[in-house]
Amino acid sequence: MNRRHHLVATALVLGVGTLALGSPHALPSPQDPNQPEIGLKISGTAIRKIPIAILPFQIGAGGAADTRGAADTIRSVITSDLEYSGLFNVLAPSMYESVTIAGGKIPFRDFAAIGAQGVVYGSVGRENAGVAVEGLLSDSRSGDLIAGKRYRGDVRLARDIAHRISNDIMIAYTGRPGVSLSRIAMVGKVGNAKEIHVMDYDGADTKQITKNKTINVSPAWSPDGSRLAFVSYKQGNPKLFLYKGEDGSTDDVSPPGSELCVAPDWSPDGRFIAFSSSSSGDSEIFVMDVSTRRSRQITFNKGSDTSPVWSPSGREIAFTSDRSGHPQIYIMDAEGANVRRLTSSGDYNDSAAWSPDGDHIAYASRIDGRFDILVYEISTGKTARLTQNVGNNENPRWSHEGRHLVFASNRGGVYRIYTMDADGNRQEQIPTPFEATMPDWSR
Amino acid sequence: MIRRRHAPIPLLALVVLSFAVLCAGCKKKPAPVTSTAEPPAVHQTAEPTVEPVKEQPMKPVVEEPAPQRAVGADAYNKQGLLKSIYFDFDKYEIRPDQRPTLQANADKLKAEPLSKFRVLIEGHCDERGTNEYNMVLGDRRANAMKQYLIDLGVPASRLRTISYGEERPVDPGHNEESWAKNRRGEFVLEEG
Repeated sequence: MNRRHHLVATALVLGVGTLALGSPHALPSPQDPNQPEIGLKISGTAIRKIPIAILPFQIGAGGAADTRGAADTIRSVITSDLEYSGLFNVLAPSMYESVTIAGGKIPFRDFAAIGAQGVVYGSVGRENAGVAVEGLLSDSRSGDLIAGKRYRGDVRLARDIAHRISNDIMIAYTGRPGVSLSRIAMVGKVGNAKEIHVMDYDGADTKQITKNKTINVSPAWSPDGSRLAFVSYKQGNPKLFLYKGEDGSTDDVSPPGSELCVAPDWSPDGRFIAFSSSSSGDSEIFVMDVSTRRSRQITFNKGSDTSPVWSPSGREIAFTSDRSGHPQIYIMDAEGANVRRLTSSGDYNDSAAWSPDGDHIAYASRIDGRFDILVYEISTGKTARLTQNVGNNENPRWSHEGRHLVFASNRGGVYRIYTMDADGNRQEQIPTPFEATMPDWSR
Repeated sequence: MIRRRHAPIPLLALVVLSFAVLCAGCKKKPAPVTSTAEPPAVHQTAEPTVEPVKEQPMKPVVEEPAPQRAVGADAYNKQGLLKSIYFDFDKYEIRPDQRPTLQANADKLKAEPLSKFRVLIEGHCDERGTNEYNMVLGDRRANAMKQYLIDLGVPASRLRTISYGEERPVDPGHNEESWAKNRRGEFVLEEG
C-alpha cells in the first residue's frame, strides 16, 4: 500500500548532536509531563516557531542533470512539510542570498546572524540504479550536527525521502514524529461509484484501494497503518471489510445476520474495531476482536447508536445516538456502561473524533442548516467553532500529533478534503483528482 | 418453509416448458396460426422428458398471451408497478399523505402477478445529513416501510431492507425540490 515500505532506507546515522534542545528557542520536551503538549491549545496560544534555513541540496557523487530535479523536489517538499507542521518558520532564501557557501563549507554563524536556529542541507548523488541522499540538520550557532542520515532509493522516491528528512528534523526538535510520513484515506467518487483511496497527507501519490464499482465508505486506518477497515456495498447490503496493505487482500468481517454495518473505528492498541450494526432499524454499537472476528454488542437501547470512536486511552468510546430524538454525541465506558451525553446544544451532532491528547472531541454540528466543525474541551466543557460561513464541513479526524484536523467540505461547490490547524487556522484544500469525502488520517 | 417457498417453481417450470413445446411445435408447422390453440396436439407430440406435463392442466399456459411469457421481477420493476414514497426532512415516520401509496403497493404485492416475488425496500436520504448518520436514517426509513407493509398483511418473509443513506440520489440538485425527491423509499421486486 505504501511505497515507503519499499524504500531501501538504510538510514545511516551520521551523528546526532545533543545540544540544540537546550537552546532558548527549543520547544518543551514532550517527555516532560509537567510541560504542556505542543499545539493542542484550541485558544490559539502562539507557539514560538523555530526559524530554520533550508539550503539547496548539492549534487553529490555521480550526480547528473536528472538528480538536479530530485534535489529541487527534496528541498521544496521539506520546506512544505516544515511550514505545514506549524512549528517552524522557514526563512525566505532571499534572506541569505548574500551568504556564500565556498567548497561545500557552510558558514553556520552567518545563518545564526540572520536569525536561523537550524540549517538544513544535504546532497543528492547517484548510487547503483537510484539515488543516495544525505539530509543534514545543524545548529547554526554551534555548528553541531543535530540530525543526519543517508537515504537510498529509486529517484522516483524523492518525495518520500524528503518526507523522511522532514520527519527526522521534527523528531530532533520535538522528540516525536510529525505528519510528513502520514497518509490520508478517503472516499473518492469515480463515475457513479464511491471507492476508497489513499494519498500522502499533502495530496501526492493517490492510490485507489477498492475497485468494485459500488459504494465504499468510512475508511479507518489501523493504528499501525497496515490495514484499513471500511464499509462496502459490494455484496448488496453494507458490510464491514478489512483491507490488508501487505497483500492487498480484502476480508468480509461483518457479524452474521447484520443488514447494515457502519462507521468502523480501531481501538488504540489495534486489537478491536468498534462499529455499528443494525438488523431491524435500530442500530447498536458492537466491538469486534480483530483476531477472532467475534463481535460483542455494547449498546442496548431504543434509539440508533452509531459512529463510535475510541478515546486515546482505549477506556472510553464516544458515539452518536438519537435516543433523545435527535443525533447527539455521547460518551460511555468501552464496555458500554456509564453513558453520558456530551453535546447539549443543536439538533444534529455527529462524527465525533477524539483528539490524541484525550481532552478534545471534534464533531460536526448542524448550525443554521449547515454543518460546521466544533471542538469540545472535556476538561472545561467549552466548545470552539472552527469553521463558519463556508459551506458544509463534515467528518473531522485528527492528525496523530494532534496539531491538525482533516475534514470534508463543499465550500468550493463539491466535496473535497481540507485540513486545518487544531485552532481552525490555515484551512486549506488538499488537491484530489475527484470529489472526495470521509477522510481518515493515518499515523 | 423453504419447500413452501419453492413450491411455485415446478409449476412455473411446467409453464415455461410447455410453452417451449408449444413453440417448438409452432416452428415445425408451416401454417401455425390455426393450430396453436389446440392443447391436445401438444400432449400427443410430447417427448418422454415432458411426461409430467400430461398430469397438469394446460389451460393457463394456452390462455396466456405470448408477449408476456418472460415477465420476471425486472420486467415488473421497469413497469414501475410499485411506487416510491417520500419522507419529511430528518424523519422516518410514514407521512399520512404517503399511506395510500403504501396501501396500493401492499395490495399489489398480495395479488397476482406480484404475489410470487420478494421485495427489497430501499431507504434513501437527501444530502443534508452526515454520511454516516444518513446510513442509519435510511435504515430506519426502510424498516418503517417494512413494518407498515407487514401490518398491511405482506408476509415479513418476503421483505428485506437496505439503506443507501445519501449515496444514491435520484436528483443531483442541491435545493429543496431535489432534496424532497431524494428523501424516499423505493420498492424493488426480486425473484422469489
